[in-house]
Amino acid sequence: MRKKLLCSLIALVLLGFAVPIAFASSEEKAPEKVVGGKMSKYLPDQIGEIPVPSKRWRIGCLEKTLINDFWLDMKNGYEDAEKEYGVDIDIYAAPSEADILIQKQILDDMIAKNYDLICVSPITDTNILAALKTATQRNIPIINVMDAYISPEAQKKHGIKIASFVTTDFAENSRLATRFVAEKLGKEGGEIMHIMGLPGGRAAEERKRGYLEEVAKYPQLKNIGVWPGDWDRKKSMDIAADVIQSHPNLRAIIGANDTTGLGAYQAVKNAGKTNQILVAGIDAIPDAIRSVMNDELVCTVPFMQYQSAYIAIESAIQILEGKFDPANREIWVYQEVWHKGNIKDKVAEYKEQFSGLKDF
Amino acid sequence: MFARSRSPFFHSYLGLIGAVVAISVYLSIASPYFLKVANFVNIGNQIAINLIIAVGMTLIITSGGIDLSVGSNVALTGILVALFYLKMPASSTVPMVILGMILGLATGTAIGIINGLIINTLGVPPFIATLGTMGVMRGLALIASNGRVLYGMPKGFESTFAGFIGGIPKPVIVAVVIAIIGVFILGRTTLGRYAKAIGGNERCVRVCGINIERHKITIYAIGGCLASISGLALTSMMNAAEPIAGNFYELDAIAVVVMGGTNLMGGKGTMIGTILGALLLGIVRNGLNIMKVPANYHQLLVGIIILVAVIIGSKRSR
Amino acid sequence: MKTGYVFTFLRKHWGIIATLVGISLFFGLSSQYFFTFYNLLNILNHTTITLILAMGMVFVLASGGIDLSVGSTLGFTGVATALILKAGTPPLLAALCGIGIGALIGAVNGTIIAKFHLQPFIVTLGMLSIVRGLALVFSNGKPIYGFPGIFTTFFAGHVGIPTNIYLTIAIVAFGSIVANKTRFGLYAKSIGGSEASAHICGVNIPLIVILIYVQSGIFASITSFIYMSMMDAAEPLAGLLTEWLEAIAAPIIGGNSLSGGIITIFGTIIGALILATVRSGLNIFGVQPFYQQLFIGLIIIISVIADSIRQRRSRLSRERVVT
Repeated sequence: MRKKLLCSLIALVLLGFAVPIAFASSEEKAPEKVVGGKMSKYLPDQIGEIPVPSKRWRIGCLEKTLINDFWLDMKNGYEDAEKEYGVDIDIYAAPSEADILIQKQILDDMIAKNYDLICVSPITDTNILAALKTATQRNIPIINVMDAYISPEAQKKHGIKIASFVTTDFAENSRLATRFVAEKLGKEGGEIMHIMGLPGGRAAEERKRGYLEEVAKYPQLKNIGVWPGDWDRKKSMDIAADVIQSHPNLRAIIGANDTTGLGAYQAVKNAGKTNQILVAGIDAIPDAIRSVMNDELVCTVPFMQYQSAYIAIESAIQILEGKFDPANREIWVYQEVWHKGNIKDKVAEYKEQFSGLKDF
Repeated sequence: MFARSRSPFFHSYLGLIGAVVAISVYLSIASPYFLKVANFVNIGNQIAINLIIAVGMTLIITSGGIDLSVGSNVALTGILVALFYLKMPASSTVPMVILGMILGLATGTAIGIINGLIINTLGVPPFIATLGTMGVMRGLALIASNGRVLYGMPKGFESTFAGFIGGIPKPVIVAVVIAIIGVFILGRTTLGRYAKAIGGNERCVRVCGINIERHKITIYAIGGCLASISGLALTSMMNAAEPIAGNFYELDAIAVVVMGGTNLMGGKGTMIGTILGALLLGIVRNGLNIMKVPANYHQLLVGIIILVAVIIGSKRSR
Repeated sequence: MKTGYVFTFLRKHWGIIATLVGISLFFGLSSQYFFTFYNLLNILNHTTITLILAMGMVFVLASGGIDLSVGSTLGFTGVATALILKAGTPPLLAALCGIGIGALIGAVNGTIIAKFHLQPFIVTLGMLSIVRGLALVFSNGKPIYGFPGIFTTFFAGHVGIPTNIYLTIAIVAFGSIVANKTRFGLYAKSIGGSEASAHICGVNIPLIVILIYVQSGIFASITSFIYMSMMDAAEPLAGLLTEWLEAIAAPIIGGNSLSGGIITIFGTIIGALILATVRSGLNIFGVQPFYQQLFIGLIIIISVIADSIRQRRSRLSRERVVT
């Protein structure tokens, strides 16, 4: 009896494995499309022409996680470029943004699969250096797409060759949000606070830095501090609720991302201070866009993750075909603030890049 | 009877009550904002979610078990309920809203029953069984939501837990009612007595001819059901369901239960201690926020408070 | 005689061995990239962190305790050692300091548990928070990098195979000897088996408990050296969740009991290998991370169920012999 039970359990697990694999293999590959030397879709002036791939190159892409719209949109960027240019792309990610070691291990496993090129979004500046070294030793070209930045010094020290770097600046996100809020508050200014992400993470620390730098530029703004929201909506709400109590004159909250911002907004709403306190978010997730449209969050700063991924694949094809211009080794993708005034136009403009915008 | 129980009551909870009072006094001197009605509303709201889970956890730990899957349960309940509201037609009508919430409770209860079955029928230790279901349920929450935040639930659902009744926030009322029921269950019902007995000496209870399996499964089902109430309250309060919600809630709940004086080995449990523990942790978190303690020090101080409370508690109980 | 020993050994561990072999065969048959030297080495390399932490954990579990703070200890000793290294201290001395800090954290855990008779779960939960807080405070939330090459080469270099694999083998051998051949190992098991009888037999329980947690802290600090050498940076968030959960899961999958009294080093090794193999296999398949969490949860439950069935059966047969 027990043996039967055990056998059936094992069978169940194997079945569990088999289902996603069956799905994975039954996915139809897009038919070979002949693309005659297209111009780059988003940066035609800078990158120029993308050659027709001479074969179906295999490209492995490692993201930070696939939790939340942000990383899913990046995945869409990779996949749309895959269809457009006719290459094969596999996408990987760590279970959560805290899994720095696991991300390295995944990259180790990706290297085992002998990809022609690897795109990585490291969680920290250093967590995947060792694996990148192995990749370089095996002559696999690497593109650093967003997030942590493998600096030229680090590359030299560890024997890593990064072929190209495509990103948006984290500190600039919060600088833009803070600047927008500061201008909105005008000469009057007032008390302002920041709810950061999980302390110790790169995005959280960089956005905190950007906030502090920008606030210091406005004498009429008084920074009352930075609290750890850990990217958590409830925690951010609790913090905002408490701080609103202890600082009745608070005028603005800059969230480290939309989740923290929306949590903080909930507290502002509960306290009945929506007219007094401005809340800003970052990332432009759908919930935040709805919120900006309804005059709740005052602004959000989209991170051009879709574009970055798309551009990365364009660069990848240039590299693999030997048509890459070393002048494009660093590409900083343009950023802007989305607010009530421009959000309708922006949503229309960027519909294809942000999957969540389709409903608006 | 009351006179007899009064002095041990104060005796056994003196450490916790003392800590709550001491920290409150300190905060009210150090910050002019602590002793405000609005601040107490905040503290209440913050404690409510944790306390609802902790009531179930007290019962489970008293029976000698543990449930690490409650945090994932919170997330999965929220996601499934949100999906129900977003996909079903006419979901903003009152019957559908109620149906959604019933489904949520059923989800949580089912998770609890699954835990109970794995632990009892298959004989897996509770820690490892619920560690496994923790991963599975979190995975399901992520798969079901595709990793996205779900929002746009009907107003009727949002207002279930948001707002006030007679000046008291609704989540606080729910938590207080649940805590009172918890005190009653643990202290005055057969289930509560069996929980203590099973936690104290399972073999002995089994020899007495009592159906341990049924009671244990009931206890895990209650724990799961309460976690899903917490999930509903969280989703409603936040106006959105997140697949990563409830991360580490299990550790918070366990900390609160043990700070209150419940024995992790089972056999001895106190619901009132759990309530006091939740109050202490809530006040500390609130204090860290209103006192503007730098971000990096929050974890450090919370850890110290937990340890100190447990050490003081252990001295009292001996 | 010899074959008899092998037979009992296999009978004792068939559940997990079968699981490991089954999983490996399944992945091996479905992907050409799985059974490559590089990938198998990868799996071993990934096992090292879990396995060294688990070596400390098995003794803690054997004594009926649990140590949730190993992940935070890993994070903090890494940060502290990195700061000491950056101050210009010779690597050997810095490593000794790091080990000392790990031992100290363990000693605090052990002392509170032994002297106040507190539950290890809650004490180490409190320490988890405190030590993580220290890591954040000392590092100011940012990774610390730039260590002498000799340090990183020793802990995560390459001499044929990664050096951390040699180190892990040495530590596992050490753990195995301590568990099976020393009084310390025996006492650890006896405390978990029955604290009262251990007490009557004259075991100095507080001392042994403190030493058990000190050992766990030391192993956590050695792990942190490997971790920081692998990354060439000390991350304040190192060991946040997955690492310590797997350090507990691996021994349990391997047949160590949460209620104490047992140490099986071999089981622990297989347990750690199962976890690393599943992760690696799922990665090679390119299975989405959401599903990975689900599968790893299932694997944990199933291997423990298999083990509990085996145990129940052996208990039944033993009872039959008695009656």
